[in-house]
Amino acid sequence: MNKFNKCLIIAQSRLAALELGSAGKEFAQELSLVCLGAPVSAEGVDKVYALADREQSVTAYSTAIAALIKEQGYQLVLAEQCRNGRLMAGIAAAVLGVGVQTDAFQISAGEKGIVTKKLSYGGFAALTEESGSCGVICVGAGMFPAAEEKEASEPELLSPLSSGISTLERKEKLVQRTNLAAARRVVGVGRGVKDAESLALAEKFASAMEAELGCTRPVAEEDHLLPTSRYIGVSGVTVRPEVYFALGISGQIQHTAGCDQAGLIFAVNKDEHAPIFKGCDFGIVGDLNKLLPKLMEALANK
Amino acid sequence: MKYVVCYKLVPNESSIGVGGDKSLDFGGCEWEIGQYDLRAVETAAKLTEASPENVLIALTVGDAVVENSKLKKSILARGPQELLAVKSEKLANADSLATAQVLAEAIKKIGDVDAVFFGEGSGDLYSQQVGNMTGALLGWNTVNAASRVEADGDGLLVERNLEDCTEVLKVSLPAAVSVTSDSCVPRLASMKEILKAGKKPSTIEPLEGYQADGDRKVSQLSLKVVDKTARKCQIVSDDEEGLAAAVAWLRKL
Repeated sequence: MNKFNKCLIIAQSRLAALELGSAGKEFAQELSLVCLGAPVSAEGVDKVYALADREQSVTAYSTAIAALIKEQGYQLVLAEQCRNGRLMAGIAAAVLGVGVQTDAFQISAGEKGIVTKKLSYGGFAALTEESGSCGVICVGAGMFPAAEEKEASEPELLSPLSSGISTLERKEKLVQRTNLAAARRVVGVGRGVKDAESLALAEKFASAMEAELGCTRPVAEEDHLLPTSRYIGVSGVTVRPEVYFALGISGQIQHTAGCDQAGLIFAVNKDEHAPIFKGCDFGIVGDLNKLLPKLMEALANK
Repeated sequence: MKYVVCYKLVPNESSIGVGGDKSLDFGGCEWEIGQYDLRAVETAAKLTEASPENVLIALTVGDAVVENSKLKKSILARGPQELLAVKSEKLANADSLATAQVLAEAIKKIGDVDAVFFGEGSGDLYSQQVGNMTGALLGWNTVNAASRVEADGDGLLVERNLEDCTEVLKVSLPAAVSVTSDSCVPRLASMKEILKAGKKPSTIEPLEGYQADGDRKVSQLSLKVVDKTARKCQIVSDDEEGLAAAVAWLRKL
């Protein structure tokens, strides 16, 4: 493909601005950057835009960003794959009249445009798509190396005026950083872990195995036993450990798509018909509340 | 208030067939309402139930599956008073913008809509874009990541759950809101509601009457089944022998 003429990067975090900076250089001639967070710039970026009032929700800047894309005639928009980035990708795509390519595990230059590959149907299938002469791509963390950081000199400010959205309250969250994606061993808990007591047992097992702790989506979102940053699966974290311990996990594809690249899978489940037993290397059928203490005790007595 | 909730009918993954070239065969599929969309239906139904004057219309696009009477009853039993579906073979394989263009046009045709609700993503492609695009195409206030939505005078009070913060916003109407999957627990439709749903009006419109063409804007190069890693599947029970085998396996790590 020929490089796109003008590309707009939309990033919230500093690291994403730098990573998208190097992605932009690969696919386009001229780069502009909208910082949804603190202003920053990257090598290769010609023009930086920032939000006039960062106490206002990013949602209040949709009109301003849509107008910018229309005026400047960008053909390519690369957005950070975070919730605000996804929103702006949708706004950009509506202006450009194109679809958005998201959640790609592979992004490359194709014959006509940018080719992306993503999991779909809950991880059952892989979908390969190609943009046309205009494209909007949501880019996940770590897909491109970070470009050299530059100071954002006199960024042009975008205004939230004319928006029908006002921000009443904004609360920073304590973010639990996890190292799941890079962990050598991972313990994943599913709904077989029903309460804090079983979870404590799973945590003890994880520490005995020197493993990071993750979970399935319902454990995080419905039972709230672990933060959402810890759920593994097609819509969450993809793990690639040497060993994955699946505790009380039934083995729905939405989850296993996120751990299928593990070297070995060890599973504990009460239900002998659980699909996880068809996708593990070693499985033991039984109640994890009874089994885990026995296993830990036996492993401790060498 | 007049609300619309959008939903997508998606195949249950475990029922998708596999062709010889690893292509997907949707022929004998079981179809269902997208899991994430059920959250939007619940959110919209709760807002609607606050006043007898409120109206909730369910809206979907797709191929002939939109006519499935069980699925029509299933959505109408969860709160909406009526249903509109736009039908075309093309729409079975529409991408996010093609879908959003049809939805935006349908919402304009319905007329006087105050707010439209979406799940955070579809159960099949999960690009998390259709709500954002539809809102943008309509030129409405557009909000995603909504973990709580309440009526607030002439607008909506929306809590957004982001990676590093939460926000509470006053959003004036009309608005397009996409709710997160942990925003609420969707109701189960009761037998009584399912029976009532059979009597609620539903309209199927062909895409031909629309300006939107339903064509993909991003080309699909391939869609293939992902090979799962082959595993040894050594399964033991929790008796003494099984435990000993498990311990031996773990010791070798």
